[in-house]
Amino acid sequence: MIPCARSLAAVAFWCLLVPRGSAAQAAGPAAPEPSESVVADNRDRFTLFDRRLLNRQLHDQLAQPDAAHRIGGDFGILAYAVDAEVASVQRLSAPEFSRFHGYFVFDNFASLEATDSLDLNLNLALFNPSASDGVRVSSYAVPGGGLHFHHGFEWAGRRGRIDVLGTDLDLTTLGSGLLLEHWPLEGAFANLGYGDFYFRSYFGGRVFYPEDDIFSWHLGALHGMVEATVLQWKFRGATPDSWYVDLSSRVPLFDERVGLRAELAANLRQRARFGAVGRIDYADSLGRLAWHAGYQFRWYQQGFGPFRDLRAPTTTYNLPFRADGYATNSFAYFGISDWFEQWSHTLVAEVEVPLGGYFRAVGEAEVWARFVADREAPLQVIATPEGHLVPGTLLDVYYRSGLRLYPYPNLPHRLSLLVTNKQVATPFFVTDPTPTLFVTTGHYIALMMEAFL
Amino acid sequence: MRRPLLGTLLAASCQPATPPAEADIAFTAVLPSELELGDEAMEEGALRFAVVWVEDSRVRVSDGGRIRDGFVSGRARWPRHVNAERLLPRERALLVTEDYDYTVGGTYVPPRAAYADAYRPRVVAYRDVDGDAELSLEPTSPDRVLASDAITGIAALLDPEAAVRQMSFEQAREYYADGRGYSRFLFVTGSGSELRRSPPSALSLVAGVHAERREEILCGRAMFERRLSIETRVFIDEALDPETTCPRGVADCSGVSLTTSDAPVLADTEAVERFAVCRQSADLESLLIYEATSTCGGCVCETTPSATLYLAVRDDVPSWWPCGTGVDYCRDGYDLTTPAYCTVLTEPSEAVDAGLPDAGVRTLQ
Repeated sequence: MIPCARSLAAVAFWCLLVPRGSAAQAAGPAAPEPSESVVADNRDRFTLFDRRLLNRQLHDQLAQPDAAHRIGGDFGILAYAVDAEVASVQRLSAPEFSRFHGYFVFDNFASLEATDSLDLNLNLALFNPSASDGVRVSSYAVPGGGLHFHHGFEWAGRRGRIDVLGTDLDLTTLGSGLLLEHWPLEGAFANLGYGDFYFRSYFGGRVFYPEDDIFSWHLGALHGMVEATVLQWKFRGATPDSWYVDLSSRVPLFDERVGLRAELAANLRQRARFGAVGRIDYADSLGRLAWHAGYQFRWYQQGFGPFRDLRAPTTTYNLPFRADGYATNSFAYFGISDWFEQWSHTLVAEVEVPLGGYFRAVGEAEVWARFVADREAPLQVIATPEGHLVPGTLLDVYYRSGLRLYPYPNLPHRLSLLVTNKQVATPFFVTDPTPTLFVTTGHYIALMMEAFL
Repeated sequence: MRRPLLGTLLAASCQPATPPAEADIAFTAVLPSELELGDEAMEEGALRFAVVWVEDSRVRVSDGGRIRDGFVSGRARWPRHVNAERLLPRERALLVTEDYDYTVGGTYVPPRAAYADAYRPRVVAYRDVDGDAELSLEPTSPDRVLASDAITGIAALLDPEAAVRQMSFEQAREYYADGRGYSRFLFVTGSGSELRRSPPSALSLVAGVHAERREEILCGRAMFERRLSIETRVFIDEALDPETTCPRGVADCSGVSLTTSDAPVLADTEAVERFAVCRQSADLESLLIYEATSTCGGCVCETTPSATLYLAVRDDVPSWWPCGTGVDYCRDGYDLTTPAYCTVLTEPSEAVDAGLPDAGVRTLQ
C-alpha cells in the first residue's frame, strides 16, 4: 500500500486510486497480478491479452494469487513455469500459410534463488513452427538468460531497492510506449528505488536495427505515474545517434478501471522533432465477463525516428506470443519517419463473454488509422513493408474472435477455436529479422491447445 | 518545428492525398559528332528532335523541337501536361532493380529484385525533309531519322504504384536519387527487354542510317542484324597480267584500260559504311572503294558489303587516280589487294577532294 498525501499531486492522484489489481487482470486466465515487486513491470494492465510471464522475479510472479495453479512455484529456491501452446492455423482466405501454422511452443521459465539477493533466470523457448517441414527439422531451442541482483533496504523510514539485471530484459515498454512498447530486449538494467521515486537505466542492444543500441536514463516519481527520460539511440558506423528527452505519465483512475497515459518527446536533432502519444483505456469485469476499450493517438513529426534515412526497422524473435500486443507500435512508424510526418488513431476493443458451462466467447479488434503526409516537395511515394503506399491514409484492422473451452474449473488451461487475420510475420528461419510484426494478407482459423503450468 | 503542435493535432482529421505521378521528364540530348550542324545541313532540311512511341506499329511523336546550333548542350522538355497514359505504347520492357543487404547479423541476404513493366520510347534526331515539322516513319516519307538513343535512355513505368510497391526502402531511395519526385519516368540503361535504372545523364544519341533507325523504332529495339558475305570486283589495268595479279579467291577479275575508263562513281545509296583507301607496293598501286548498304524489313536488317579494287602500274596511273590527292595511302602492311579498312594512314595529303570521301573515315548520309 502506497501512503497518501505525500504531495498535492499525490493526493490528487491517490484519491482516485485503489491499489489492487485491475478488474481486467482478474479476468485474464493466465495473467498474474501486476505486482510492484516485479521491478519495471511495464506490461500493459489495460488489456485482455494474455500477459506473458517476465523472465525475472519468477518466484514473486508465481506467488500471486492468479498463479496459484502453476505447479512450479513451490520448489524452494527453484521456481519453474511453462506456457505450452500447440496449434494448427489453417487458411481461410490468406494466400499463404503463416510461418507458425502447425506448431508447438513451450515457453519455459525457471529461476534459481542463488542467494537472498541474486537470482539466476532462464527463459527457454522450445518450439517448432511447422510440422510441414519434417519431423523436428525446424525445431528450435532459444534461451534467454539473466542474472538479477536485487537488494531491499530501508532508510529514513522509507523503503528502497536496488536492482541490476541482465542480459534478458524480456518484453520492455519505456514510458507510455512512444519510443518502445512491448519489445523484447537484451541488455542491462539498473534500478534505484526509494519511496515514491526511482532512477533507472536501460541498455538495450539490437533494438530496431542490426547496428543500434539504446541507452536510457529515467527519473520517476509517484511510482511511475510521471517519468522523465533521456534516451540515446545509438548507431554503430556513420549513422548519427539520436538523443531524446521525454516526459511520460500514467494515471489510473476509478479503481484502476480507467487508465490515462501520455508521453511527449523530442528528438534533439539540429532542429528538434517531436512525437506524442495519448491513450485512454477502460477495462472492467463482472464475474467472468470482462471487457476493455481503448483509444490512442500517436503523432510523429517528420524526422522523429532514430534513423536519419529511410530504413525499415526489423525485429527478431517474432513468436506467436507477440500477437498479444498491438500492431500500433513505434516499430511501424520509425522506418519512414525521416521522410514523412505521421499521426494515427487507434481503437481497440476486447471482450470475453461466458457462454455457460465450459465455454466462453472471445473477441478482440484493433482499428488503426494512420495518416502519412509528405511536407516536402518533390513528392516521394514509397511502400511500407506492409505494402501500403505512402503518403496517404492507411487503415488496418486486426481481429481475433472465437470460442474457448475451459475444461478444468478454476484452471486457465483451454482449447480455442479462433478466426483471425493476425498472425505473426515470422520468416522461414525464425530467428531471422523481419520488417513486419504481423501478416495481414487474409483470414485464418486457428485451433489451439494451451496449458499454463 | 515547422508547424505548431496544435495545428498538427488539428490536421489529424485531414486525409493526406497522394497526387498522381508526374507525366513528364526533362532530359538533355547530345548529338553525335557526325551531325555537326552547318549552314548547308540546316538548309537541306530542318534537323529536329522528338520522343517517339510505337503502339501497334503506329508511331506517336511527342511535340519535339527544332535542333539548332548549340543544341548539343541544349535541354528539351516535354510538355508538362502530356497524357502519358495515352501515349504509352505496348512496347514493354522490364525494369529490374536490385539491392543487397549484408548487414543483417552478418548473414548473407540474397538480393531483392523488383520488376516492373515499363515502356521505352526513343529520343531521335531527324531531318524534316518535307518541312511539315512532323516525323513520319512511313517508307515513302522523305524524313530521315539520323540518330537515336541507344543503351541509355528513358523509360516510363506502366504502373508506377505497382512498381513502388515492390521496392524496398533502398530501392525507393534509388528511385528518387535524381532529386525529382514521384514520376513514372526515369532514366534507364540496358539493351533488350531488361532495363536497369541509371542516374540521370545526358542522352547521347547514336548516329545511323535512316533504314536501321526506323526499323529499330518500329520493332522496339528488338532488331536483328545479318551481314552478308562481301562481293568483290577487281579491275586490273591492261598493262598487268590478270592471271598473276588477281587476288586469290576473287572470281570477278577484269582486265580493263584504266586510262580510258571513267572515274568510279559512287552509287546514290544509303551506305552504312563507305571508305576508300590506297595501297602501294614496289611496282603497283591499288585503289579500294568499300561500301556497305543495308536493307531492313520485318525487324531484320541485312548489311551487304561490297568492295571494288582497282590495280594499276605505279608509274602509269590514270589521270583520275585519286591516290595521294583525295585518298590517302595506307601503311598498315596488308597486301594491296586486301579489301580491308585501313588503320595506319599516311600524313594527310594536301590534295584537293577528288570526289571521294577521306580514306578510313566513316561517313553518313
